[in-house]
Amino acid sequence: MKQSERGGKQMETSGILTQIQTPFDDIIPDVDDPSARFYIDAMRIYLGLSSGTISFEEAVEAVEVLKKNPEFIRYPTNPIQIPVNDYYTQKIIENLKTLKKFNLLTTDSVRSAYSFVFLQQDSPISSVDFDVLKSFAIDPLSSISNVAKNLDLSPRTITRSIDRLAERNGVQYRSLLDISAWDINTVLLFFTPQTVEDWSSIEDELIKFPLIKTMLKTTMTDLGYLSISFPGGASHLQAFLNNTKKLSGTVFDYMSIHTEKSIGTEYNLALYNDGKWTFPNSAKLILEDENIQLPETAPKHVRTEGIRKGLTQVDFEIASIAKLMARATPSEISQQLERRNLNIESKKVTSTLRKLYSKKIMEPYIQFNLGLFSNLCFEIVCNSDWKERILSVLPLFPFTMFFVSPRGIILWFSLPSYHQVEYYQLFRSLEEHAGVKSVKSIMTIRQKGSRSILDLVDSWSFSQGRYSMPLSALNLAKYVL
Amino acid sequence: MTLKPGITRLLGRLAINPSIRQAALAKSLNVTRSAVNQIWRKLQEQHAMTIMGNLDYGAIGYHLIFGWAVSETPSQGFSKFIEWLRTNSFTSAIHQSLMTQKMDNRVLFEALVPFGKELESYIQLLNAFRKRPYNLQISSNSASRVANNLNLGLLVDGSWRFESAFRFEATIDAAKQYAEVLPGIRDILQSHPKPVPLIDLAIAAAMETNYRVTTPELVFTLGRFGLDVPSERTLRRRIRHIRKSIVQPYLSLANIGLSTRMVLTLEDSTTSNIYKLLLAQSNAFPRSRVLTGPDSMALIIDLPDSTDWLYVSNAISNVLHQESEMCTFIAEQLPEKRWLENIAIHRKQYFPAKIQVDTNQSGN
Repeated sequence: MKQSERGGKQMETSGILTQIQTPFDDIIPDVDDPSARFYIDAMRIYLGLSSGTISFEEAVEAVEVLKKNPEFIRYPTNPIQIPVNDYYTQKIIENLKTLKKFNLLTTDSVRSAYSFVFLQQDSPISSVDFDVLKSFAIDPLSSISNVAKNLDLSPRTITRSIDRLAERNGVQYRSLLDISAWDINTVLLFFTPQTVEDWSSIEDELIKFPLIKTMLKTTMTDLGYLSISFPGGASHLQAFLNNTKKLSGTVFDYMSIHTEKSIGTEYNLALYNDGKWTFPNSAKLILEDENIQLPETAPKHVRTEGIRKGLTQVDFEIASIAKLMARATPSEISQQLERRNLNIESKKVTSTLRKLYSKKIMEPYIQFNLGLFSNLCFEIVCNSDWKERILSVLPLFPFTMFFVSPRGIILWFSLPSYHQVEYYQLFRSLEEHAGVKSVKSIMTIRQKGSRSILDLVDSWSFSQGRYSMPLSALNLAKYVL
Repeated sequence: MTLKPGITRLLGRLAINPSIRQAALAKSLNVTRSAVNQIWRKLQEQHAMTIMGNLDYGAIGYHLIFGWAVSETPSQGFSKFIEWLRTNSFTSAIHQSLMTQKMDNRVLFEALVPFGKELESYIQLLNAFRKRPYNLQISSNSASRVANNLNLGLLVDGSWRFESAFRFEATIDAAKQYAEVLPGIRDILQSHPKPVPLIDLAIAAAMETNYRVTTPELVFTLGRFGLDVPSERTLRRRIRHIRKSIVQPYLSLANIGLSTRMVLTLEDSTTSNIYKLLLAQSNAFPRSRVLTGPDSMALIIDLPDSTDWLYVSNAISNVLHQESEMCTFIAEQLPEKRWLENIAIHRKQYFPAKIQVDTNQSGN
């Protein structure tokens, strides 16, 4: 059965965005361009929520419509996942007023107006909140009573702390998920465009390819990447790789494809003291000197093990939601699924999650701000020894996510702006080592994010424990050649 | 860094009119001359306050050459080029990148090169680095205008009010539509280089680092150039002439909370809107040095300590939308710098006869 056919009622959503009214409608500009409208609508949804003119359910429906805009691939934002507070509301209003004052209605200016709202907002963290954060960093799924016991605090204090951490320090609880368990491949394609002048029109076509989870290409650097997922195991992977070769030397000057072997994350709160992060010098020493023995720590990760027996479509649906809200209760996850017209009992959610965590198909982790507002991505093409060396030091950095492929490793660091140069120089210098073929980097101030995998699989079929799709749908080249 | 309101007011007046004397300054601020003198000394001690001179180098026989080299990786060729810059006697400034927007390696350089055969040799050497085995991308130009901006209007209650977020981008974006009519900046035109009396070169060189150079200080400089000291009347006449036609004063301050140095390079013609836009916007930064040539521009921008240069870079990139070849990079805070006096004296040591010929030709 196709994912899109599951659930009964069709949602009437197309008009909902225009129906949202807010007390600030006089400063919200009318824009014709669909890409510009995407950001205006995102701001409208947020303002509607914060002023109470729309309910949460209406906001959820509105976001479903928003996601259908191709601009969502460029900027996968979800205004209902952003804490509703006065700070963000005022920033949106301020930026909308600036747009109006300068009569700026282009997609770029509206995009900047939106993205700048959510940059660099962080609050100091109290020592109690920091202790709570450290507890959940070790075990994100730990019960409140356990944390309370370990810290000698009341459960109520812990609950309040969790709320404060979410609102002030951007703390979220997520899970890594090995989607290859349902026979889905994930590929990262790094590229530099052949001609910069034509890039805008190529990008407009590229984002229509329905298998793209996320795309990152800024005006700052030539290097960008696409994250693509598709079912069909090894055969479809090979077909995709063969088809995509045509893009090298035509659309892309540089093209480098990485197929997922494992993904993971790590963080190190021990480096944070009195509002400042210390640079991880021990990691620097290990990376600079190949003679230094590697630490025995291994980062949190899930391996891409391929299809697992006994997993169902319902398991996938549950996992897709739990991935984004790891601490949600089974009934909360069940409610989220119900919004998509998927009626799955909380009992089933409990048993599925137990199964997925025990089989290491899912692994929980936390995300936080704490001043880590700069983002650096490194594509490192290297041998296995170097992959091992790099993986061994990742637990020493404040916050990292990684993707291991047969060709190398991709790293995403969240770092404080005052360490930008050190990170950049440290990792670029890895090219001096024999086992490292190349290190390329992208710096961005954009928020991280990608399409929900449940949206991605919408047009796929599910049968006998796996997703599938026709080979012809893998033709990325036809969108841009 | 905290600057009291009184000090900020004084600095504001000085930034607008750097040639103003202390007595006139006291009158305009409605305070005593002694009070002004006290603040002046304090600023000199704590912030190395100096009235510097922005020169028309052409009028004293020099080309101000500026340019940048790019290398994808830190290659041997790139290292050799930087080494050459360091040892070349005409190099006046080197700004090496710590990190660039394009994730490559860059160096911005300035050089003061005498006109004639030495300029030809210099350009040949630059060309050599463009070819094998170095194969560097090098852009270079003779500067047509130079500016040194200090926007103390952004300094409020001792803090820099520099908005690097959306409003900054919106301001540039909006200004882009009016690039044709944006006001110019206070800069000095670089004339076509010509021979000059050595004494004029020496006086101008002294004023480069101290616009208000005193007679005893000048005597020392003239001595370094191997020149006899003329009569006081002659000397004052030469000083007036130089100040009037060759030097433009500007205020220089240190330790004022601008420790982030960002360099912006642009390749585009002077008639393009992007060029005009960036030129006009150079004033929007707390401090900037602007070098413009016929088809390129370099801005050396000093930003407040807390500014993330990436936001500024991102804002400019978003507005320019890759319509021009532009790049920003974060540079070492203290660039390698040599002033004209050292460059000219070094040249005199190697070509004393040549300089004497110049003097004889122009006469005095």
